[in-house]
Amino acid sequence: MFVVGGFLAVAVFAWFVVLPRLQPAVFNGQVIQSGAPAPAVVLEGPDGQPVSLTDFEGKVVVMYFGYTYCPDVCPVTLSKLARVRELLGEDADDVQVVMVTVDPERDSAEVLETYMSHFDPTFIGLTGDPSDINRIATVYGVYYEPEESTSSVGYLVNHTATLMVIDKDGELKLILPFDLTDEQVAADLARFVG
Amino acid sequence: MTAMKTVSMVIVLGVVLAACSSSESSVSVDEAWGRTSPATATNAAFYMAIEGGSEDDTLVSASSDACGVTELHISVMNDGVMSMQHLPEGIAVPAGETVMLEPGSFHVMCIDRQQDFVAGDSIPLTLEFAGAGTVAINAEIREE
Repeated sequence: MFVVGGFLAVAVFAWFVVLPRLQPAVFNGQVIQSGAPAPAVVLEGPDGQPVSLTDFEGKVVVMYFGYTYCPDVCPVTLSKLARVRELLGEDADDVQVVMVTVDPERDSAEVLETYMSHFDPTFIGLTGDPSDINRIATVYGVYYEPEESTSSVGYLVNHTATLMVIDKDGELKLILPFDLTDEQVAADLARFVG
Repeated sequence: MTAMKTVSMVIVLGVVLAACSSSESSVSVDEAWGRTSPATATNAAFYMAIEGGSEDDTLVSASSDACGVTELHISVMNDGVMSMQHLPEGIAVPAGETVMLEPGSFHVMCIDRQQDFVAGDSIPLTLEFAGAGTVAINAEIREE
């Protein structure tokens, strides 16, 4: 009797506790097996202060490449990330949202600071020397290119619209497509926080 | 008297024809909205649902006192890269179909924003259709 009971207890423990941990995590985003380390490039952050991507180690960084002249996709993405922070609750303290501008000519540190804090006071915008921005974009496989337009806004910037998730050790771990829901993004980030 | 009757008939006929013409190509616009804008965001976007009438039509332009310039644009995703394109030819509104202007797709682009967009605001917009003519709407500003 005791033997059967003990066997059942072990089986239940294995089924509900051990097995789930052995299964590979399923992500909504694209998993990067050998992530690039955060490059030690210094950009200009809030108040024009120098910010290196290595400064964020210890936080899960969600990095986006966008620009403030973009009235559609960029606000959609940043609004989504603000809602994701709410979904994460206290774990959101471990997450740092960073937008690197792909339009340093028009996006000063001051413009970016006001822009980013509109979505969430913790969000950070980074600008800087075009060659430094290009270096970071290259490391993360991000494409961006200004394109002349018939629009009176002048040039527009085509850019990769995915989100990069960089873990607490500064390594790129996930790429999240533009069309993921708030819940899908929160579920993926939840695996890196806490 | 005969001349007056003739003039009256012409006027009545004109009014009837104008009414018929308007109803044939009529479109309806619903759910117009935009989002609150960061103070330093020069540009903004408006979204809406345009329901086509009984004939094909085209949204050729939009205007608003809240914007220095207003244009029609589309965001296009290609292999993860988003590009925004100006649509100077307008946006086709096929008969009987609903065209959605929505995030990540068609939108009215407000360039050189002239005022703050605060949640709850109602921004007047004037839409010009090739067939249906002028349609005045209000876009609700939402915190999204």
